[in-house]
Amino acid sequence: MIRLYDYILSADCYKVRLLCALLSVAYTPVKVNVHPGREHLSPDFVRINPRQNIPVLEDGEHRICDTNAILIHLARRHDPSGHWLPNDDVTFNHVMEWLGFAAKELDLLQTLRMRSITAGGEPSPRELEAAHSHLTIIEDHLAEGDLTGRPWLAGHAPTIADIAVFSPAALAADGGVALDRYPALWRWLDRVKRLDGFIVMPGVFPNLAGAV
Amino acid sequence: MTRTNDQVALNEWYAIAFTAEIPKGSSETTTLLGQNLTVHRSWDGAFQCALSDGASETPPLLKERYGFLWVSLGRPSHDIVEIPEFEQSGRKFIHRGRIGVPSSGQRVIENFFDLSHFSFVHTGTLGGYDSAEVPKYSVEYRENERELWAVGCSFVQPKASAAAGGASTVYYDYRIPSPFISIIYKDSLVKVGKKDLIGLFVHPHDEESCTVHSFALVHDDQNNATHILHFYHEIFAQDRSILLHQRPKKLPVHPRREIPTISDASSIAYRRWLDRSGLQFGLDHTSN
Repeated sequence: MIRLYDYILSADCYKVRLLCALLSVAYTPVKVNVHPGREHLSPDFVRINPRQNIPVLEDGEHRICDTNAILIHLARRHDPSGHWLPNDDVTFNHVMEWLGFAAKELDLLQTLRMRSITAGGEPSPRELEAAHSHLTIIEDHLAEGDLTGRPWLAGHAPTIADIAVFSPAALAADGGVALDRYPALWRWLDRVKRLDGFIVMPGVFPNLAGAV
Repeated sequence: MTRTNDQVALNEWYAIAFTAEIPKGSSETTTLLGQNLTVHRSWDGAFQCALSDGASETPPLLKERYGFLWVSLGRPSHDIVEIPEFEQSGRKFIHRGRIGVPSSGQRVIENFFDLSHFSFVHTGTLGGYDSAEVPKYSVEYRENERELWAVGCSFVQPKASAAAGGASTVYYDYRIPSPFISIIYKDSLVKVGKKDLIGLFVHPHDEESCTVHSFALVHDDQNNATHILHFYHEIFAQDRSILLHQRPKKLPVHPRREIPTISDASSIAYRRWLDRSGLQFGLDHTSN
């Protein structure tokens, strides 16, 4: 059985929910009261994850306490197609780079978003500048891909890199960071939304072509 | 930030915190109607509230009610809204946490009682593409026009609450007892004939940003409080994503600013009611 310690508004938890949906992996959610309860900081939760954050995934004998590690685990164990985490050195290295980028640089987008949602204030000009410089890195990479026929962040098929970057990028506006000036990024967001099994979360709107 | 001189806005009561959010012996600063405030909780649990600047103004009034801390910067002629259900047994109280919205408080209230958006913003829970029609409801003014009600509202909802097992037609009344408060009285799916309450207490920081304090009083013995909370946060975060794109950020109240349909009756009544009240704060009175 797979269990996911989950909070509905967490962009990191959404990465895991989304990959599970795309891989048709069933799991039981364990709902954590992050806001306003701060349950993830409680002594009980420290015993589950000393890093005091979510998501945490339990899969059989494994307990994994890091978003990227969970994505890698799910791809290695539950993706028979192998395209979510390709084995060839070049693509694998690119996927790892983007996972690092999502966890490090894009953490700012997630921080700004949760701060704004929990009434902690809007981004400062300096924070906005940093957020946009990170988004510009994605935009430039995707615009180049549009010209060279590479529709995904790494290689010719979607990988867990796309999942890790999609969540904070698609939710940026909720944190006060507008995506107006990133056309290549918009096109890529839409490609992700058209994947078979794609699911939304609050703040992510579905592709409605043909739906209404 | 500049304190408003809108007397209608100043003479209201506003929830500015959930009391349990402020630990004993600590202080919190906040802004209400452009006025910076410091709230202090002493070691014996009592609250005090003082203006952080503009000491020449009248000192704020402070009350605790329904688990929330209420402040008025003016001298209101009425008490905090009466919600008798807080005294009744049988419902589970859920504090839903504070949610910040970079938009006028009245935009939040208007969105809360709008029925038309359910199918498109809360697809799969409060509405669906196949049942987007808003059945007729009526709008009433009560308590000498102090309160606005939308009554007899109904909607087909795939998952009306955390306790819902499947789709059902759900009946609602909306109560708007102040420009910044709305309470929904919704048929319980668990106890036939009983009502669940969900209430929003909007705390306007300035004309274009607010914090929403909210509660639920629900009949639900099945789900734990965290499960119910996740359901509400899903709904509210969907609303928030829509609200932060609405322009202008202040709520337009001039009739020439809208092309309403019959399903917008409550929204139109709210805008006219706000306009007549003399309130300026958070509203856009221009005609184009």
